[in-house]
Amino acid sequence: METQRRTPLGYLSLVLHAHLPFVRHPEHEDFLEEDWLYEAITESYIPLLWVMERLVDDGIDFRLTMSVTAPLVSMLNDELLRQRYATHLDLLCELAEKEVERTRHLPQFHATVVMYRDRFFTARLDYAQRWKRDLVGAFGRLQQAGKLEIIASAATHGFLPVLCVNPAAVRAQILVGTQHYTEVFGCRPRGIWLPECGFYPGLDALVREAGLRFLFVDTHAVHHAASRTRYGPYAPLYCPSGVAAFARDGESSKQVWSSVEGYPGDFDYREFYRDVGFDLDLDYVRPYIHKDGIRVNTGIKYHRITGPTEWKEPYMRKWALDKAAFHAGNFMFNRQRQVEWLRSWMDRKPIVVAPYDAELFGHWWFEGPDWLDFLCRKIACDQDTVALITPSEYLAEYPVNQVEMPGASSWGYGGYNQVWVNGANDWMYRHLHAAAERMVELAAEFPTAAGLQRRALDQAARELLLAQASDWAFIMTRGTVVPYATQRTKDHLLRFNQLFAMLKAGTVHQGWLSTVEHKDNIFPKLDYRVYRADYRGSLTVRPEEGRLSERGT
Amino acid sequence: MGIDPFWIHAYWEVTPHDHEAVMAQLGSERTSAHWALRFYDVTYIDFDGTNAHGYFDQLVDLAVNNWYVNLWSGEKTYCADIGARAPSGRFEPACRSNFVHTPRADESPHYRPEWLHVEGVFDKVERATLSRPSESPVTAVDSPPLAQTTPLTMPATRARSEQELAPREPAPHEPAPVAETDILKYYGELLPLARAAGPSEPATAGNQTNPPRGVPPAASAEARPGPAWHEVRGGFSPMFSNFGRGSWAPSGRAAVDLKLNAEMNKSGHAQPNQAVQVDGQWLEVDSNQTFSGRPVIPVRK
Repeated sequence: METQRRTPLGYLSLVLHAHLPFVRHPEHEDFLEEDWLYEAITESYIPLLWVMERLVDDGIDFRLTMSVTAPLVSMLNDELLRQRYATHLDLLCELAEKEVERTRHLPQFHATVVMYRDRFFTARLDYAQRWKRDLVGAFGRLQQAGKLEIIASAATHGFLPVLCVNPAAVRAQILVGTQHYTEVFGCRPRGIWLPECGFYPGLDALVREAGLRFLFVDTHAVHHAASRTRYGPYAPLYCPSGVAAFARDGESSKQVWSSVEGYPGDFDYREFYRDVGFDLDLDYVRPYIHKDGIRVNTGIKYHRITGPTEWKEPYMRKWALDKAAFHAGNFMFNRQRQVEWLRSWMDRKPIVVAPYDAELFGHWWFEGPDWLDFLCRKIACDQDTVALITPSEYLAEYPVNQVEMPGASSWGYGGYNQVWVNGANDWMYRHLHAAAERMVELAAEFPTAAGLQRRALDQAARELLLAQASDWAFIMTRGTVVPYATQRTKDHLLRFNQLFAMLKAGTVHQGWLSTVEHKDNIFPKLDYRVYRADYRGSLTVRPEEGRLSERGT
Repeated sequence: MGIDPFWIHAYWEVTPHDHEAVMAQLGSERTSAHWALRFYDVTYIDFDGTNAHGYFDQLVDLAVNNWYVNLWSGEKTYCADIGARAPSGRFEPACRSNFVHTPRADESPHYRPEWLHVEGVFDKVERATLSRPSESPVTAVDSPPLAQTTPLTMPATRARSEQELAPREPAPHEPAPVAETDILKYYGELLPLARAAGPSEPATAGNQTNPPRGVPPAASAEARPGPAWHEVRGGFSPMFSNFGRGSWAPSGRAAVDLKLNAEMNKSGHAQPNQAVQVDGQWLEVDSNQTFSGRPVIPVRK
């Protein structure tokens, strides 16, 4: 029997943003950066599915919101990457088995590796048999169950505030992302996660054109709105276009995000940076790292954070789970007090919006899914003050909201654009802006292309979208795998420019085009005419009435 | 590109042909000219090349091909020319950039609550809510009652009447019914209208006191064609720029010296243990030092 909802004083909306850049290299047998996907599946997406499905099975009434970006969906649904992931998981299970034997007389590690082995084997079983390699479908079923609201994002996670030099480029990012969502999930999205929470006045009109009802902004977008807001970030604003803007709550974000004050930095939690891929003898781990002998994270980590020291103590799973439960209770307690205080001066139920990167849960913060599990159960069973809600449900309950334009903002360092435009990456933008202009020019010049010409135009649009991904600029700023990010940006721009030149000359090289289509196969149904001002297609139709999950059922 | 309220990034590429054309225009001054970015402050105006509020120059080396420009206030709109500047002040532009609007860096002084009900998918739920009046979420006077039968209502700012501009007591919200298509139309009109009626603020740095050739000083708000500020933005008039920064009485009772010629809108922020008086009327200051109200203020001539 499912837990029954009572009338709360306010709401908490947990938003998980799942995104990875499109990394797919069929030309290489073993490509290092593809591990990003495999690690995220094993450590984040599968554990999150376990948590949500267990909550449903146990009759816990919960609500979560999740954005799953088009590049991530495309990779999760790609047969080549599915096969490679299955192989990766096989190797992981094999390594775990070997580690169980190796640590048989190391009791401080043995229980931990048994836990890993069980998780990997269960993941392999569920991935192959329960979900039949279709993780996107598994998330979709949770949406159909009314527990999870999946929202769209921009096509390739382009950081829109710096692409807005060319409005057609921003429009295409939103329309293509929305269309891809509709193709995958079989329904229209109601909301959108703007990449990096990047908003600027005017963007809402393009979101509206795509038939979307709401978006998210950072806290200071509301504080610095064109005029003061009545409820601050604790109620949505309607932008003048009618799109609702939900603002991130700084307090709840900090509790989870902050590496100093946040939960994930607790000393009992698992240490991310100690992995057997780096700690053990090279010959021993060689079959499980990159084939060129490059050490990588395997996902088997035996230590806890311990403290601000190089010396790390062994991981104690029970301690970590106890701490996750404690932190879930603390988080709920703080939301209760927050909601009580907000309700004391608000004439409506406040909504506290807490968005996080989905990969934080499990990958970076190993106990994050457990924390989420405890939190949902505690909120459903232990109190009546605060309830989980999705943005759509909140708008259904409060369809009247203040009209105001939020300020330009992002959730990056500094709150604006400096993470994505700085001395490390500013060289990109003259090329990205010029390519967008060229794409608009092509779309205008070829209004009704067909055959090879049409394929070349569609591929040009794909290459432009892939070059615009915010991930490349972010990586350059962080200084992690800069050569790869630089190469990807240049590769896509070069391919775009080559296609542009071929189309202008009227001689498209079919063999070369087929190769490029095979490499960059995202958005198979992409229509290059999305870059035309008169493009309507099926995207700009108003969203049909969708199913709203009923509260209390 | 805008970076944040105080930084913008400019990049350029000047072709040899354009370079030569600019130098040819400078004639004998070409040898002593220096390339520069000339930033025009075009906040809330439709820039026609001659009506900027002001400008400032940033000398650059063409070979650098990009520059980060530090600004002194947010919520401004700029565009830039790249060109050559002679010591005499003559400036020959090569080309002009796009417009960049920098974000606001602090809280807005305006408070103009307007409310919107978006029809469509949520209508069904709204009807259900209507049957439960005890859960009515909006009870404030400036919020529309939920007993709205018009599917889409929006108290459009542009529809504000002269009556609303006149001093009066707060009245129940009376949203003007509009068609849905009006939302986008309204939105499309908002920025140009606001620009046309925006405040006239002189630039405060650089050599902005010397207008560029052919650029007259910015017209005053009164002389500028187009709708008056209040018709578009509501809130404070640009003439009220001293609002909230008035002279504070040493006794702890604050006096705000204002020059008013129209409605004064609602809110402000006082310092601790101070009160606010406007033309003899005391405004209530909350525990968080904010005050609001719509006092009746006589028009001064």
